[in-house]
Amino acid sequence: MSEEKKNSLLSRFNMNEVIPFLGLVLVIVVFQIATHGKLLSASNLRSFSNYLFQIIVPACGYIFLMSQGNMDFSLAGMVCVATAVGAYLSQTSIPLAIAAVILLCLLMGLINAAACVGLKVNSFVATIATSFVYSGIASVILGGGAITGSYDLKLADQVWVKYGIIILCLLVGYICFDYTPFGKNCRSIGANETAAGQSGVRTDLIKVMGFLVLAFTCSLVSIFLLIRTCTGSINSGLNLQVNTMLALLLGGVPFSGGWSSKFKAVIIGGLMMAVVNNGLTLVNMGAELQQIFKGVLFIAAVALSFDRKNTAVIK
Amino acid sequence: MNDKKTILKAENISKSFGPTKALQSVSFEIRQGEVVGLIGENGSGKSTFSTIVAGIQKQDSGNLYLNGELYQPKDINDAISHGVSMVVQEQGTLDNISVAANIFAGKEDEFSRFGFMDIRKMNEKAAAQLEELGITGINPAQLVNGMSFEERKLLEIARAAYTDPQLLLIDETTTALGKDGRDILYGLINKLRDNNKTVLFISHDIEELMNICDSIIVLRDGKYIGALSKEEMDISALRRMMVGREIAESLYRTDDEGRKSDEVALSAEHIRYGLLKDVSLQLHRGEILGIGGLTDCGMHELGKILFGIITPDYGKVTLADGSQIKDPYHSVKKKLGYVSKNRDTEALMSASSVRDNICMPNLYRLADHGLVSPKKERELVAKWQESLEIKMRDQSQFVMYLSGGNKQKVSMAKWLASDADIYIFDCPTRGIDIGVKSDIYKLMIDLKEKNKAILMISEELPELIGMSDRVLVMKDGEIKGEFLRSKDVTEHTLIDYMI
Repeated sequence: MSEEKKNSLLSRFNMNEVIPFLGLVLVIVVFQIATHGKLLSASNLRSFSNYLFQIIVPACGYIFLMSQGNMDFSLAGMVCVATAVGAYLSQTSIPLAIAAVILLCLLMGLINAAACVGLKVNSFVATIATSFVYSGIASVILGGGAITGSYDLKLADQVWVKYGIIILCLLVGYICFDYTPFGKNCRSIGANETAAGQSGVRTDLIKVMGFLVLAFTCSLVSIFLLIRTCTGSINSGLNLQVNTMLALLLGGVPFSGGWSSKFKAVIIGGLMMAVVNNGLTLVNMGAELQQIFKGVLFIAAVALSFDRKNTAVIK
Repeated sequence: MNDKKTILKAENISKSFGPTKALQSVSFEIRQGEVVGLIGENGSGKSTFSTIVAGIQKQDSGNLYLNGELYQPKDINDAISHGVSMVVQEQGTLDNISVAANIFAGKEDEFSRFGFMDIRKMNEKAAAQLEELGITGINPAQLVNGMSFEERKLLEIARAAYTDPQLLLIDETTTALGKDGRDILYGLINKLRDNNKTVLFISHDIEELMNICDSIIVLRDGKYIGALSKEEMDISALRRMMVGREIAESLYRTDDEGRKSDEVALSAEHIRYGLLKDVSLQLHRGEILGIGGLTDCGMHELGKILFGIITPDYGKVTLADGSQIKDPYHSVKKKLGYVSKNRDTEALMSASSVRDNICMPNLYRLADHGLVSPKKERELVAKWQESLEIKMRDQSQFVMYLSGGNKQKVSMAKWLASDADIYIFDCPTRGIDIGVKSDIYKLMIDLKEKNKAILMISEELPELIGMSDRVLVMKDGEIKGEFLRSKDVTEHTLIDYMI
């Protein structure tokens, strides 16, 4: 028994799992120094919650999809449409606006799923295509400008609300991912879709649900953006998918999905990306430079975390 | 015999994979011009040894000597340049390129002129090479993609033969080959022997090795057990050496009892799909129904149709309660289980733990208020690991690191754990050594005793005859004959209906 315990402890302590954690510590230390202590200070807590919310919440949904080996590149477009419509409707009724945002996001998630599962188009290609559609629709609605919503939305912009929702998402996400058949089936699909199907996993349904869960978390991000800015603009949700995917990759979830996808990646990767985004802004790095920085980070994260063990298997 | 010169000498070869000792100080010699069999159960280290000789991996310690000189192949190509070639157990062909390009992979330079490939010359040469080996029906210009596993294996054999090896290693290839394919391989082996070349033939099929080998080396648990010359070869002695204990004289069932009941568990009516023309059958409770035929007779597709993986163009599959088979999800709910012939690609998640594999079809049953209890998962896996004697480090070990036989046990444990009533086993003992084979047969008898319905699709005639209460023989998508369990049914009877 003790032998087995030692073994599993040893195997748990492998590099793939240690690297993300070390990365997080490194990033915190570097930016804490670079920002002269501003990063981890009480005055930054509010600002940090904004960065954290926009990464952790969608990551809680994205991990279900990514563990299947699927991707969604349409998050920004989705949020754009939702915030535009939400801002417009909030002028009449805030509950109506919130309901519309949630339903719209779920509808767009369903469209992504239909393209990927129904038409059997690779999720990467399918969602790149739908992202164009969603951005196009958003541009039409916005008519080249921005829509300003009700300023009553601002009332909900409280730090504790944001941290509360973040913690709630993490909790629900963790339980669903680690303890429900749905969460486990997602990873089975990523590990070997054929084997999962032949074991009675409803692969198509699980994939559709993956897209829907992600779409729901995107609706939360849309509502958050409305509350914070009271506007819907073409820049709403900019870079959302890259930030989210980067967080999961840095947290150790492989692009190919499967059983090495662990929920703690959401926390570790999410914190890391929030620190990077917040830190880069605190050191006054321009948006353009930030993009270059993230592009390089993206490639590095993919190269480092790609699960070669999983793909070495002849498919 | 003994005056022949030693071509390969292994001296204290050891190799470990983590805590697993695959080879422990293995030493033996192989003489030139002989066909030497290397036999052992799965996990005995025979594949590890041969891949070391072929330069695919390196030993941890010990030395190899080729023709008396220290031999340390850097990689496969280095081994080939030393005259050592190998036909591997797994699929070793490259997709998306032609047959000819596969045969000459790595030797493209021979056909290049001013940096361009002379495709015609390559195709001609490939055609000649295939013809020399007696392989027909393969066009050198066609892409490898659509080809069957067997045809691909033949290509690999052609590729290995082309390198004109002084030592050819053949690893578990014949399980993938039909009769014609085997004859081609045996022809090549004999030709090499006639030319004073050496063949190391790795297999766990004792009879096959006894037929073609001049001597047989036995490995067990990574250790060298002994070598038998042609005169000393004896089935029971070899089995004893391989397993390390006495094995019952007969692997198969010894009773003549037929099926236990006439209650129909599953029935297929007028199934049409692809090659299958109007196939109907009934599977009873307490019955082992064997389905035999050549690989491409449609029986593997039939198995998938019965479980709902493939929807037939016409016809239906119904259960005792009158419900119809729709898809695997509903089949699992109705207590069916299916083990694919393709263990690694369809039955198991390789880069996943034993626990996650076994629990996959059982999650909803293990869930309490929608949440799966890790404790229940562990208990379920522990129960079946113990009962099937699955050899593994612990439940979190990845399935890819298990031996073939233990992998098969895992894919069966999935369904035993789900307490299925109807089992569809497609080639359940494919590529498995006798130790595990006899375990699986025992398990099937057990299931029959519990009044479960078992449908066994198999390409191995002794197994069909030895295990089934009833055998259906298929040919070209049709059931050609039905045989009840009886001493009068022989391999010849079945073969007449298969071909």
